[in-house]
Amino acid sequence: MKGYELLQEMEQIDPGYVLEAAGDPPAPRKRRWAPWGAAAACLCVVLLLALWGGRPQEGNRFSVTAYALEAGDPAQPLEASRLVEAQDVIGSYFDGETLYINLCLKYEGENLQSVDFIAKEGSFAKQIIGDPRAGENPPQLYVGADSRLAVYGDVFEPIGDTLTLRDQTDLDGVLLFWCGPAEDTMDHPDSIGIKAVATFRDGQTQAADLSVDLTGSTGMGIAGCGKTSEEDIARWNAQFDYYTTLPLEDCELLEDSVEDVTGKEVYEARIGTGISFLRDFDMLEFDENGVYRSGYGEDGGEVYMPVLKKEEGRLYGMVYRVPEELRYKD
Amino acid sequence: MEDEKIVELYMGRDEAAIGATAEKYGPRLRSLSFGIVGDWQAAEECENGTYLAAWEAIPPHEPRGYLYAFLARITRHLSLNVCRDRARLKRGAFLQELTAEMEQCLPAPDDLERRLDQLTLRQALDGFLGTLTPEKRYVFLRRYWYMDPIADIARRCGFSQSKVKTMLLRMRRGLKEYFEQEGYDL
Repeated sequence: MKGYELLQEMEQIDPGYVLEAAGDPPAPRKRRWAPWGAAAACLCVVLLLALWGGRPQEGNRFSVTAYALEAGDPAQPLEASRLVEAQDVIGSYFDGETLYINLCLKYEGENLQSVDFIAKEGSFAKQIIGDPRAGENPPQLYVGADSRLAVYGDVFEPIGDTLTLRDQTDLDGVLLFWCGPAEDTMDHPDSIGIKAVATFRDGQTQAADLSVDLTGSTGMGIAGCGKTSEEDIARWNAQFDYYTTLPLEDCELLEDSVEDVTGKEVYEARIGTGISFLRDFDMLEFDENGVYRSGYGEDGGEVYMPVLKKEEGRLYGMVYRVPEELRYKD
Repeated sequence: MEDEKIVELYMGRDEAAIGATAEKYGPRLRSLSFGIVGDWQAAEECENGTYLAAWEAIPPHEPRGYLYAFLARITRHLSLNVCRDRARLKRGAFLQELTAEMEQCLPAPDDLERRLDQLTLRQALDGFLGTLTPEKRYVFLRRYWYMDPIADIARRCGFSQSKVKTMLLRMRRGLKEYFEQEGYDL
């Protein structure tokens, strides 16, 4: 039997099931993410500014940006033109119950007294870079071509659904996260809705709605040790070991992915709809065949493996796809 | 009109049955077909074909408690045939995507123990669906019975698309394992 026939034969199932699925979806067991409205399909970040409370007084000015994705130097406010170029890489941490997504919130303005960021769903949490509670050499996650630190260890301090900033430097040395209950690392909403309310020194307020679009993004995450079982960790490690030792000749080389990266700083490996960055080539440990394997990535049910190969004095980046029959099985 | 009464009209060979069916279920059937064939004219043809097929099938069938499921099954069948026959490029791609996903549910041929007849296949599918939670079953059926796009299912359920994709991936693996464990060969 072929897939098409099975699809056709689905019509044989109990009519009761057909009727069940004809109506509204069953009530969720846990919670559901409310859709926060349509976001532009190809933009990683959508910024909407709405003025409340009438025309602001002369001199009061306020703008905000929010992103969960690699977008160059986070010290620089995002320009609209750069939003389109932002890469689809999320830094996240999953502890078995809660998914933390690294988020950058920036604002600028004049005569500002404070800015409240209010999560429409979920809440905020933070990590302190260098927090001794995280232990020595805690797991750290760097994302993007510029290796932005996204996760430091596994100690998170809950903030609640409102984050109040009186100064942009309030976030210095701090990693900010949006967080919510999740069943796995992929269980994130399509977008994160945040309302930002600026209070000016003259008492006036101004609000902005932000929506951080996560559709089509690739999660670069740490599976945490906090509430995750030893069994899960062992399974993830086994999966990593399995893929990094899988013979490449048994996998499918994606020819379009091959790129001569000799002398370049970064190889952008396409993992399905996302990108994995390989950089600092000089610091990587290549095997005796001149091959470096960074691990694996999953997207759309497929498993991909970014690889660097040294050949005749050149360095090539490439991506292999793992055939279904060779995928890791528990 | 109540389903019971509409079925009674069919049973009594009263042509008003078709009008009553169209009035109650026409838009839903057309919409179901449109989701598969991708154009309204073909969807209308499938809808009309459904009425004709229902007229011929009732009696002997008496779908008193499940008239919509009965009609929708016919519509789905006709729509898939239209899609396959016309080999529309765009819908072909859509169908290929679904077909490829279904391929992942099929056990390896060397697990051969017995081939499935239609009745056994139905029992196998029903058995697997019975193992799912209502939430998962809803997602599975919206995708593989109603053939909804991932984005539509995500919107309906209030899930992210990535969650729907992950759920479907796991359920496809689950169905394959179910077939293998139960010793079915397709």
